[in-house]
Amino acid sequence: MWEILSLARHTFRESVRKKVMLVAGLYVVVVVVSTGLAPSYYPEARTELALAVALKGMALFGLITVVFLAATNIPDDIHEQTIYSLLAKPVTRWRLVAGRTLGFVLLAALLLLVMSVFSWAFIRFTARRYLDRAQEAELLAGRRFLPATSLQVLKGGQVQEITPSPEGYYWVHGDLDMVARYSFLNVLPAARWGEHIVGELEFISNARGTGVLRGVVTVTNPTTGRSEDIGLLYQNYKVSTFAFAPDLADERGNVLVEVKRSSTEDALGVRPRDLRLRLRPISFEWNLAKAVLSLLMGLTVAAALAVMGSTMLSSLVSICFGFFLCFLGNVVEGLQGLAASVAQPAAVFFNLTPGASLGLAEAPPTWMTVLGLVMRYLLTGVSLVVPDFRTFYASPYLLAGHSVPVSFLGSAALYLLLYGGGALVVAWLLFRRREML
Amino acid sequence: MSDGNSPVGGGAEVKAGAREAGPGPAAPELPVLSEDVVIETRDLTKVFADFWGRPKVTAVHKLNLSIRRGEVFGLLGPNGSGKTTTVKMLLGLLFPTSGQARVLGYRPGSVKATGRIGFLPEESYFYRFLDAVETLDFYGQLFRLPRKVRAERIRTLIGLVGLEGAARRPLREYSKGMMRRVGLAQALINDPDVVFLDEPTSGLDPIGNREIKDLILRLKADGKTVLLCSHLLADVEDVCDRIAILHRGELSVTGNMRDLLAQRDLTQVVTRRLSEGQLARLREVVGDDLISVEAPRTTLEELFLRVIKEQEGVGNPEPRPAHLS
Repeated sequence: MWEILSLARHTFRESVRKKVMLVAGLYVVVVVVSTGLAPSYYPEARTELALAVALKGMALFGLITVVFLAATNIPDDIHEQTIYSLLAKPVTRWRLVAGRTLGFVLLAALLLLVMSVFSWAFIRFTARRYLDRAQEAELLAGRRFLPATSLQVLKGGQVQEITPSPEGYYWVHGDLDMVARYSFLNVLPAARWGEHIVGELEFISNARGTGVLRGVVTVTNPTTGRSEDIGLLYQNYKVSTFAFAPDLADERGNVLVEVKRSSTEDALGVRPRDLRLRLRPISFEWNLAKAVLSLLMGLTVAAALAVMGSTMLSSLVSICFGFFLCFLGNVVEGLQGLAASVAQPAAVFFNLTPGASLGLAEAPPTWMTVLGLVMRYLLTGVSLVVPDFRTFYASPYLLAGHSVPVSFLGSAALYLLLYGGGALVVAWLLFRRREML
Repeated sequence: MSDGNSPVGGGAEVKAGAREAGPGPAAPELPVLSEDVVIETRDLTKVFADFWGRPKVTAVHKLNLSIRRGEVFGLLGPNGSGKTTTVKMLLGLLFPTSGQARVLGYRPGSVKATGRIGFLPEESYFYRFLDAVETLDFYGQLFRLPRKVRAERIRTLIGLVGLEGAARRPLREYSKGMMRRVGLAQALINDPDVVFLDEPTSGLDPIGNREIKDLILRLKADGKTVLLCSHLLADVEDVCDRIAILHRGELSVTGNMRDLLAQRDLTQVVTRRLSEGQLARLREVVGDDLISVEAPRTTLEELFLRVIKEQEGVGNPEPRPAHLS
């Protein structure tokens, strides 16, 4: 461990002395200029933009820096022949690989620290400039929610079986006697805000634009049967809030919330997560710290992958390898979508309609089918092998004003252990028999 | 196996001894080394292959060496003879195609072996963003030396190689000679039992050259084993106890330096300066066997060092700055 730490410190020092931290300066310029030049259509726009650019910029700059350095370090050691003095010391190749990777993680941590401190200051500054305190708190605080334990859809008092659409919605059509019933368990005391429990609703209708629908939320104590109706207007793609007294929850803290519609226009998409109770939000600073921590885990995986490539490739090829893997890791969703789209082989993939442009009758020719299948399995395989960086990007939570869940950090840490650890083991296997010519 | 430990008739054991006595490609595991032998190779062979794995060049062929504790062993040969390849195999930087090697009784490259080895590579490539103290401290950490021990050794070694005035300058500002001195210092940071020196005097001026040779002799006096690779024969001649000459990857000659260089069909008698009468009587006694009578010559190196020393003593009483090497 001593040697690993020494190598990590050495790697970190080398990178810092090569003035790598200037990347943070470039990041500052990009964030300030891009946010300042963008048009602002509504008061929150600049702050939202600053938040988005800062978070995505951190990921981009961090990834490019770490991959570039990690991909070139060992090849440069070999090319410059500094590796001779290093491996002639009591340093096993495993420790060299681990020490180098740890050094890049330290560098990534410093880079992220500098970038995130600037981001925090810039976002706060932008919010103070364009928003009042309430708007700022609403936009930046990490809201937390208590999800419903179950969702039932009732029609005429009968429970309907829920069969969600491919998008995850259960469509409630224009019938006024349809009810979406959400059950919440143990809501107290976590969901209590002073004298109220606050819920929010985010139904999506098939109305075009931002249609407004009227509805009623009925909150019921499941033990006593006491209930309260709350009239509600909900807008497409907008969050509507409602509040009720804590005594509508029973002794165990359970409560039923039913949603009915009062107008028959359009259909509503209902998902279990669309109705939730608010918990106390966490501060923007704490939420940002969690996002940065998850990003650091992602950069660690990127560093491990780049080091893996660098143990067998030259600098240039290693850089290409590292960036290509990280690029694929950032478009895994697209790869999976592409793989799914070639499920109907070839013809769909090539956007060919049977019987149309090529004059095909019914089924595409065999070679197209085979090619489609090959591509499907290839894409699926690639999407499984490359690192899924979505696991580490918490920006969607912050941009939605949600708290980064602990489960997200947990899954990121597990992914890091498995994937990053695997990459380092492969790096060692490749490097242990490499000859230093 | 050619056993270079035992002086043999004429001092040289020529090629055949190195090639014929080996047990063949399937050499058995090397036995545990005796206390006296610190480096041993048996049929050590290195064949470099092309991209497709086809043999391209045989860099070292069935090399048998045995180097004893406390001796300075010179590995000589022209460029491309396999000296550096041999050293790299002994350090675990390259893997033998066949044959075996043991360093201090351990597999080359193992932590137990490298922990007791000091290595000065052929070219002094070190991290140019570090200064000399940081370089030595970094390598010292890799040997797990405690902070106090590192600090003490660094101070001693910086003085030993004459870099006191430049210890805090980044290595990118160093001359080739200064880099060589840093390289030598890092090779000694762990107080090694065995020191591998690959062309140690390369890039040094005659004074630095002499200092390095003095240092090698001091290492020998301290009981260290030194493996010296060089094609500068004068350097090797001055410090080595035994040598091996490699040619195209094969061991051509190995043996004791004094025996190898002895011209056994000649006799040299050194006296104080003789008068004409004494010379005439000598010619009379020796007769036709006398080949030449002349004053012995010093070496160019000795002359150079004497002149520089005299100049510094007269015109410049200040000690010579280390960074001018």
